[in-house]
Amino acid sequence: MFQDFLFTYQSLIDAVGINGLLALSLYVVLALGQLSLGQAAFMGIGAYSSALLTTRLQLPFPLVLLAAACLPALAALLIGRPTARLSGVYLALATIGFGEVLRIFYVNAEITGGALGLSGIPERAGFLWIYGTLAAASAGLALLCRTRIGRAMEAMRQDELAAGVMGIDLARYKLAALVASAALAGLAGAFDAHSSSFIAPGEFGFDAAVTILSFALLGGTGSPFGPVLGAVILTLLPELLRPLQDFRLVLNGLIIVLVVLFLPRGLLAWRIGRVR
Amino acid sequence: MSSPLLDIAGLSRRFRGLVAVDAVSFAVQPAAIHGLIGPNGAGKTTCFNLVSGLVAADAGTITLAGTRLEPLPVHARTRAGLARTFQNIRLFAEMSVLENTLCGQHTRRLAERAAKAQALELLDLVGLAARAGERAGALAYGDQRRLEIARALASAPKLLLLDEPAAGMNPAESEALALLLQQLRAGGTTLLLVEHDMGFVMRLCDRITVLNFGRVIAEGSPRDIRADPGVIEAYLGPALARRLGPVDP
Repeated sequence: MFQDFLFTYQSLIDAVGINGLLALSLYVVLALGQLSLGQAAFMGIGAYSSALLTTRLQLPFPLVLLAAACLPALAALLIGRPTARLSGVYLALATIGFGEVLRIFYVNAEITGGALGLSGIPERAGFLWIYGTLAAASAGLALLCRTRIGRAMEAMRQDELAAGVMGIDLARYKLAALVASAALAGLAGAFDAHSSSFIAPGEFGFDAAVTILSFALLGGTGSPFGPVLGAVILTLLPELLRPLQDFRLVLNGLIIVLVVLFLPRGLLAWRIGRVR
Repeated sequence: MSSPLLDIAGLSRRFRGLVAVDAVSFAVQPAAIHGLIGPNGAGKTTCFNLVSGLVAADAGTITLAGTRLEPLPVHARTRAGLARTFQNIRLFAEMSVLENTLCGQHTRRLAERAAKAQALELLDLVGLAARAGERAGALAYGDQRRLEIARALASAPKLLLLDEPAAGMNPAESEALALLLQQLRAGGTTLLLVEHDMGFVMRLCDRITVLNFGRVIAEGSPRDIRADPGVIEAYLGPALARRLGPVDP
């Protein structure tokens, strides 16, 4: 019974988990008050590198996943150093630029299959891989909330200047968050490539970055569960409203506007319990 | 005289045409309460910002317990033993009272259990233990000021900079604050404070430095400062100087 269900809705179920992972990856950055629009680009690095490692080198899947987490993390380290002093909208702009550069590279490079993308990627990312990673990542982040590091992140989000005066190394935290976030997005990219068996440059552009942001905005960023909830809703919604499929982006935009206006803390405003 | 805990020499900062802090030099002795006073715009808060690293100095040196602070970024100065509060309170409003204090312990890397125990002790010291679980932003103004002091103390600083700690407090609260600060001094913490309540400053401080237009115009014991014609002229005014009491024989 469950097997049948899984088979019928496999691609949708996979997409929900992958988008949940992407939402979590953005949460890591939002949790300390930074805004990255580079999540789609990091995802793209994970997707393309994993697809190439699987199809060209026939590497085992766990090793491919490791590479799909490490390569975007390395990219984040490289762009994070010069942008560490940026915050707010400036970091967002820098990461948009980074994403566009990569997208143009994917479109033009031969190894990435140009505008046609890569196809025939073996379907190796099943339910267990995707949801196991999602569960582990959300549990890890939820546990982090009540530690010294989690408190430092929240302090940065609430008052960066005061957080610095508390002795928190702001630049180091920002860089670490961007690197961790890139690794998660890279994993999501690898799962995407190995579940849909086809990737193209269009999936990793600015639209995708904004969609990922809308997951977090809808769900709320008080806890790691908010963005995941947002991803679940916004991935299922177009399926439930199939007639509106063409207006999907309009609907996403509308939801962002409505949430910002009426639910500034998102659907799940709940914050991981205060220490008493 | 023992060697000073904080030694500021030739400290200057210019904001475009305005020289906010102009070759300021003074020293703070260990386990003392040192007052920094002067009219609005005299450069007191800029001095604090220079010492804590929020503003970079154009010239001069800042030495805390033998460590030169000016090359260090803000967070490293905390590690070197510096803590501060803000004139316009800057708590982490959404976090609980206890969590704010725990944030103050960041540099000490305590185990969670020890961290919580010490934070509660500090809250007890400032009289907020009963409110540990409340949202910091929901506290009354005077309580927020005390919480900011507890949060600053949580890093176990050698030197605590207090920017107008008694501002907005009623007489009873400011009396309790004075007792707390004396208690801290007795415990070996050194305090440098900016304050406009002259009764508070004169009663509490061991030594006072007076700034005007970014320059040091006087330094000495409270008694010397009250009697200093330059200070009366620039800041205290003759009426207040008289009310603060005759210069003891």
